[in-house]
Amino acid sequence: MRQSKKLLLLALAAVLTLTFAFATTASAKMVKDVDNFIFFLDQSGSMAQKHKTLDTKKIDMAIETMQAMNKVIPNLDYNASLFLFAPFEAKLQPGLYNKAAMSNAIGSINTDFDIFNRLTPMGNGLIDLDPVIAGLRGTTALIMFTDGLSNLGADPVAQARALYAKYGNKLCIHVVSFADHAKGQMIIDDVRALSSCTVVADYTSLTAPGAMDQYARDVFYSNVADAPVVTPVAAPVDTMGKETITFSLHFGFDKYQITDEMIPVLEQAKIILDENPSASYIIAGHTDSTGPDAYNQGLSERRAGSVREWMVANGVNTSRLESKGYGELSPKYDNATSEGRKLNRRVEIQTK
Amino acid sequence: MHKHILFSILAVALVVTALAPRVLAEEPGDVVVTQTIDVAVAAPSNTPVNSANLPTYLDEDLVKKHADFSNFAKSKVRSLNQNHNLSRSRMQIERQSNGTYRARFHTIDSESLVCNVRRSSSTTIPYVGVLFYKERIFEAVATSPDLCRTAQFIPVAVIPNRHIFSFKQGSWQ
Repeated sequence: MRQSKKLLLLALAAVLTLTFAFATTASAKMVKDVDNFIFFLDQSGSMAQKHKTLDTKKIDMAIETMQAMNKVIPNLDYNASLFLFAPFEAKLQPGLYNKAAMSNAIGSINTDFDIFNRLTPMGNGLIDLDPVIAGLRGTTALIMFTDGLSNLGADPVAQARALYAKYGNKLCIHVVSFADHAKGQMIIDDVRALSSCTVVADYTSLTAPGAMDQYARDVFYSNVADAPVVTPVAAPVDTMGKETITFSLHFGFDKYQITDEMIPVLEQAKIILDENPSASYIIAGHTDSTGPDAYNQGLSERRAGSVREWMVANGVNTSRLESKGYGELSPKYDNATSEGRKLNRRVEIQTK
Repeated sequence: MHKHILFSILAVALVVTALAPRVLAEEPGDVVVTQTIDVAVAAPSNTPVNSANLPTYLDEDLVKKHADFSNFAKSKVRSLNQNHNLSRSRMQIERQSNGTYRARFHTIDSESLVCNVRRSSSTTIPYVGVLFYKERIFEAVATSPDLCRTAQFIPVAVIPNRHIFSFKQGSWQ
């Protein structure tokens, strides 16, 4: 009798587990984020050299990364292709994504080439890829595998910027970095900085547990809820929030006037606002918790107002900007520490 | 009596298993559709390089400043994570209308950092740096606050951020 009760309880537990497990997985499905993706591998001389700290040939690391990435990309009828640059070469022409075909194409890349006289015209590689992108319908993820060293021909950052100017939000360039040199890392960062759509990764970061799966979710697909969640589990859905631009202007005590030293930071903020001329923004002033509430409220309003006035005076349309003071009411950081209070004294700009 | 109940429960479990929706995409067939696209031939630029159009990749001073800013950015992100009001150690736990609890915390993904440095025309602030990062929001739901803390957290949202810094008297601020 007692044994039957135990069996009954065990069976109940099994059923509950099964139900929860299925209800959780059923709550989300994979939906592709892009229509096309292009693997774009740097096969220049520097990629045939060993990575300074990881002591492995960079092109071998890149191929290993591409194969691992290919394994986790879901089969969601992407249009996929594989191109190489420095020198430019097509390994897999655009076509319906097929894991085996992509794997074979990656495997066919020759990694045993001479380093001598094999320079890196990365910018030219992007120029060469332009007609390929132009021939694709819908949105495209361009995933570059490179150490960032560019020493010949067109400026790669300028060429990447030109591609964004041409294709707008139909293109996103992601760079998987194999950089082992400050110059290469800077060029990679400069390309990444051209759009907030980019997902950052390097060889080491992608080998961490779960990192490649997360990268695939960030670049290639989203989990979208498609059924009511019946279990007490958070829905595994990634949504992109509005971008926040933050800076500190280091106002003096009780001051809210813009000084010469603040101008370079404001100019940079204006460059960001100019990236999207049709967007409207809220300029928010924040203080730390030191001082009376009402005083902080007024000060934050005056400081946010000063920033808005500067932006308008420097060409930003007045209708695009609203200023708001939050005083000490919206601290993002811990007011109990001096570093937290310093971080709380900030200006934030957000799209409306 | 119990045997009947046991069999009924197991039967229900089997039905649930069979009817559970498939969430993974199906493997496609082996048919590969390709299209041929004309590809341009690489042509080196003929524009002479001078001080006015110096590409970033030739600017050694900016390379040094970028490396310096990248180091500063890593320590700044550690500070932002430690001091965030909704860091993992200060997670927010709220009771929901259905009686369960929802825990939430924010963290800056240290692998998401992108550093960008440019020159400014100011003599006192010669460089401006922009740090790009992604702030990820994680949530877990459980039947008690304690269970929430130890539950598996799932990413629910990403907030892209750009933080602007200035270089003054030899340091970033």
